[in-house]
Amino acid sequence: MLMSHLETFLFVVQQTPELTVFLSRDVEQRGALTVRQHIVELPEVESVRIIDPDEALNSFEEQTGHHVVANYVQDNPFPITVVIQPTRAHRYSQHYEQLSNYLYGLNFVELVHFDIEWVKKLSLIQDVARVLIWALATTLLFVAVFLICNATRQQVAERVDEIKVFNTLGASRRFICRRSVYTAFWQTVLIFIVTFIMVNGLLNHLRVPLAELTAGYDISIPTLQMQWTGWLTVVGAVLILKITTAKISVNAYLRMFEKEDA
Amino acid sequence: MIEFNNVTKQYANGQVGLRNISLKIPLNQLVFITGHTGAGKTTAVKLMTLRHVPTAGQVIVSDTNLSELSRRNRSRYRRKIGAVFQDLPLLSDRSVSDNVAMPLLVDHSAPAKILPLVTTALETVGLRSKMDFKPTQLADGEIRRVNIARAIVHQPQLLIADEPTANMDPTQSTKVLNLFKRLAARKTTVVVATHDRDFFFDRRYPVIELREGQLADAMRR
Repeated sequence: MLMSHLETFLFVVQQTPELTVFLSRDVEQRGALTVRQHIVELPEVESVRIIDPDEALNSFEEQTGHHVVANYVQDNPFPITVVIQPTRAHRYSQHYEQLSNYLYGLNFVELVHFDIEWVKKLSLIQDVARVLIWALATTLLFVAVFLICNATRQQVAERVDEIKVFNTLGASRRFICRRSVYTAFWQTVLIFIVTFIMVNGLLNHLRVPLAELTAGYDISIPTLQMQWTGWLTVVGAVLILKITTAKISVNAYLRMFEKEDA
Repeated sequence: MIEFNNVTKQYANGQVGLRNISLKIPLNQLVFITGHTGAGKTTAVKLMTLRHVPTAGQVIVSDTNLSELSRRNRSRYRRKIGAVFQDLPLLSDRSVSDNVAMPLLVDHSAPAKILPLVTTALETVGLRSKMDFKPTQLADGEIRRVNIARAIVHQPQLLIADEPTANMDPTQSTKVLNLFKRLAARKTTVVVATHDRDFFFDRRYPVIELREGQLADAMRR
């Protein structure tokens, strides 16, 4: 679930780098549409948007506050601009460079602009984040396994007198293990209930702020809940781990008593 | 008949518990095993309860060679007998009655039978009034008596007790001795290992005396 959300997050961040293609000043709207059509058919391109000179001038005035520019400039100095967003699979620095070289080869293209340093940094951030998430997940897994096994072993150790008495009274190994197995089962059920409430409470708490955050990017994160298959896998793994550890610990004590008696 | 045929028991640390002992213990009566500390009494009773296996020789109980029993049959044998050991504690987190009921649980007795049997066993040792107490609330002598109740609750045909009167006052010791006599009178084989000579003072019962792991005095009446 964590990796899935990371991918979604990175996808959102990766929307930022775009290629901006400035066409020659003499290219008119019709020529721009031809260029657009040509570019949109490329497999590495996800979307193409045309910004005409008037729109570019208005945007410039809005962002800079220089509303008087139009009064001083007889002709609109902005060319027709094409903004290209590559597909998700083509957002690495080498793809941007290849696409840029290709676009320079087209007629009417004056300048291709993109921030290659940002793209490179983003790829590195993505790689580092992925490795960190995996390292964190693996460490947490080992810690969880250790804690579960050790807690179960301790519980069996606290029963050592009972195991000795039952063994001397002639109880079968199955009988001696039974209480530890029952304990393991009910503790797993309890752990599941507590974890279920905590995780769902946390996710519900996060849902609203996350929805607000992602709304700006026009995406949603539908996987912000743990599926039943995931819960079953975790519960099953904990149950197997606890029962196996309990049986191994009880048998270890029985072997120890046999050795002592020998 | 319980038979020891040339039985030797040597521990892992090299100490010898019994040296080449042969003896016969008749069934359905009270028998004492006596001797000083380290004479081999506890080793002998542990061999009879299958807590130990002999290094050499055979221990035979009712024509069954105990060394040849499978793990499952060893457990079955232990369920049939009653055992009182110094190193077999009561569980402090359970009540006296729960401790006494343990052999019945192990033997999968019907729940309806458990309480009457536990009550009877505690009554026999004079501790019925303390059945809901925790072992930590009992005196040493009372703990010994609960141990005895736990050993007799399932009415075993063979009762083996190691120092059952340790830490008991003479009055309680006599009561325990009388209990063992009553059990023997009801055709239960009772083997008692003790260093308490007062315990078998009247010499009406067979006594096996051990000395340094060997038979000091063969069966005598």
